[in-house]
Amino acid sequence: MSPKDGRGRWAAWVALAAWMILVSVGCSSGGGGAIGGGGLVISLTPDDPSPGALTVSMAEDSSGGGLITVAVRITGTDNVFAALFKVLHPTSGVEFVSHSAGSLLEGGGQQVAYFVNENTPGELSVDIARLGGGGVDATGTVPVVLLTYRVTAAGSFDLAFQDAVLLDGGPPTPGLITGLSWSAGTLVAQ
Amino acid sequence: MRSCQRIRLLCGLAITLCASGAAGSAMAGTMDLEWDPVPGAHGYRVYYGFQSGVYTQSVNVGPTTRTTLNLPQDCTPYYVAVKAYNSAGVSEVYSGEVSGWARPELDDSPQFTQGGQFAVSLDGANFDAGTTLVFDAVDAEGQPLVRLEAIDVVSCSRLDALVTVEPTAAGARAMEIGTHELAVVSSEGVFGEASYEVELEPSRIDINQSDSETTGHVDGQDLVWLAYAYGSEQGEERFNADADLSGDGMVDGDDLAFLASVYGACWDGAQWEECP
Repeated sequence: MSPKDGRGRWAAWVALAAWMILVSVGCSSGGGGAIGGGGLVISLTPDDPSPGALTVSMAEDSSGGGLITVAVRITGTDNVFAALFKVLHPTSGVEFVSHSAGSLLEGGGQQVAYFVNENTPGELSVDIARLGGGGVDATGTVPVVLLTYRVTAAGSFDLAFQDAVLLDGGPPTPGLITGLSWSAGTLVAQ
Repeated sequence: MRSCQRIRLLCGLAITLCASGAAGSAMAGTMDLEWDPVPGAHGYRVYYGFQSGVYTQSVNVGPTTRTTLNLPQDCTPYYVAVKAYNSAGVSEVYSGEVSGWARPELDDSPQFTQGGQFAVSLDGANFDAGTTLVFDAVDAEGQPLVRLEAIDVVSCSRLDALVTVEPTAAGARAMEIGTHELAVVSSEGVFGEASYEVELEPSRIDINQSDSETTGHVDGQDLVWLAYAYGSEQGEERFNADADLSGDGMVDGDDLAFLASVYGACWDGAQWEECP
C-alpha cells in the first residue's frame, strides 16, 4: 500500500463517520422534546413545573411528528364545575391543531361540554363545563383539557392564560373559585 | 262539541239531530251529523238545502246513525233533516231540522316566534261572528304559553288575531318550538283543526343576560348556566327556563345544540354574526 492510498482510505472513513453521526442526530428523539417540522425538537417549558394547591398550570403531555400536546392541569382544588379561559399564542411559528378531553371534569362518568375555538388568530377560547351541575375535586394534579399545537419554526413561543376563571358547582348555583394562580409555559423549538 | 235538537215525530219516534265538531274527522267544508236510531228502520236519508224546510239535496247513508256531509259552499247556512226508511218505504215525516255552517277552516298555519306578541291576519272559511281560536298550550303548571289576546272576525273568510307567545320575561317558561295543534271554533262550538308553527327566538341563546359585559355574546357564561341546569325539568330546583331554549320543559341536548350552533358569535340586533 502506498502512502497516497492510505490517506484516501482514511478520508473515506472520516466521511463515513461524519455521515453516520449526521444520520443519528437527525433520527434521535430524546426525552423532553420531539422532532418538528424541518427537524425541530419541540418541548414545553412550564412556568411552574411543581404547582401547588389552587393552581392551574401547563405541562407537556406528549410530542411527536411535529406536534406537541400541552395538558392544562388543575392542582389541589375542590368542587370544580367549569373552566373558562383563553390561551394566547404567537401567530407566527405556532398553530393550534386540536383539543381532547382531560380526565378531571369527566370524573364519575358525567358528560362534559367542551367549546374550544380560535375565532381570533392566536387567541384560543376554551370553555368547559360538566353537564348536570355538580363539581369534582382535583386531588393532586389532574388535566382538564389537552391542547395540541404544531410548531413550524425554531424559537421560543410563549403561551399565556387570559380571562381565566374556574367555577365551583355550588350550591346553590355555580360560583367563582377564588385564590387561584394561573401558570402557562413556553414552547421551545430548536 | 255538539249542538243538538231532540225532536219527537208524530208517530212517537224521536230523532235527535246534532251538528257536531267531532275530532276524528275535521275536514273543511263538512258537517258531522248524528241521530238516535229509530226502531225498525232499515236506513236513513239525509236532506239538506239553503232554506229552512227546502231541501234540494239528499243522500242515502244506509243503516248508520252518523255521517259527515260534504258541503260545497262556504259561508252560508245549511238546513238539514233526516228521514228513516224501511221495506215499506221512506217516512213521510222529517226529523226536526238543524242548521249551521260548514266546519270553519284556516288556509295557512300561522307562524310565531318565541317571546313576543303577534298581530296576524288569517284567511280561511266559515268564520261566523263568534269564531275564536283555541291554542291549548300550557306548561307543566297549567299556565298558558300561547294566549289569544283579541280577535276580530273581519269577514266569513278572514279574521285578525292578537297572540302572545311566551316567554315574555326573563325566567319565564318558553313555548315549545315546532308544529302545534290549533282549533278554530265557531259560535256554535263547531271546530276545525288547524296548526301553527313556533320558531326559536335566536336572541334567547344568549342565556346569561345578567352580566352586561357578556350580553349579546354567546360564551362561557351562557355555557355555565346551561350546563348547570342540564338534565333538569320544569319544577326541579336546577331548572332554568332561560336555558330551556327549545321550550320543551327540559334542559337537554337540543338546547346544548342551539348553544353550540352560534357559540362565540355576537348579536347584531337581528341575528348571530361573527364578532367584530
